[in-house]
Amino acid sequence: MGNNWEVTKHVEGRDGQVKLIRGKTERKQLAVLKIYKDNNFKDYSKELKALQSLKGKILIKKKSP
Amino acid sequence: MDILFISDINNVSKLIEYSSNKFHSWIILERAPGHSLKEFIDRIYHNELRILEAIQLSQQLLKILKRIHSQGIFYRNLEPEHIMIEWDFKKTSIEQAQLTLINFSQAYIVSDKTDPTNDLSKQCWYQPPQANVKGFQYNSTIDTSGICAILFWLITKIDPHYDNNKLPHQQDNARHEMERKIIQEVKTASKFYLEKQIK
Repeated sequence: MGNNWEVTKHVEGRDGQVKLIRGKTERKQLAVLKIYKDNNFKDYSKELKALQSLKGKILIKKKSP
Repeated sequence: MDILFISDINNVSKLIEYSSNKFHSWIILERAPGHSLKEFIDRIYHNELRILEAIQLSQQLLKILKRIHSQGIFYRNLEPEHIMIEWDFKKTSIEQAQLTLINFSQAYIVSDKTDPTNDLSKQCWYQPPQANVKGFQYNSTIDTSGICAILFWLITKIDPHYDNNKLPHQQDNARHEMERKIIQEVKTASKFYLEKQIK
């Protein structure tokens, strides 16, 4: 994690550690840092890939009536 | 003719940064607005959700998951703690609630079908029956069953589980709770109808 964030709260999750963070300069930017339990690369890579695939615009195909 | 249009998936955690090395793997996500559905129902929303509201919320989830499925991803991790809800319930109907899905660590990505790490975790809040059938772990119906489990929980406030080979809705406590809820709904509807007639 870079120096752009500061931790506001620690939460112990089932999958690992979760920290609520916010931007140091952009104070209104609220985010969540998720650190995977036992460095679980499997969960990390699945989550990352899914979120990357769902990021931004998507094409929806709608059947016309 | 089919119509194609471009849309945002607004109901999914937004990725900001990520990194992995041999010591740590982490991601930073935009904080989803509101509270987890579990916290909202247990601590914030003091009334009971009506059956119609529970159905409307489940329908919203269904739409979100349908969009996720359209991108070749099955979520497979539905539980009240993984759904964030922001709802001004004093002013708006439940259909205006903003829902966000968090935690995609159990996601199945269809294009990775040969990935041997795709097995569904046994730690999930709800294990649908088909999760134990070979091949069905990688099926979109896992999410459909998850929505039914959420609907069941919204109506009964009971975590869905299997006991003595009985399905969640066949358990005695769940049956009693569903009967109670239906009677309550009928009473409310009758009262509403009578009041309308008197006016």
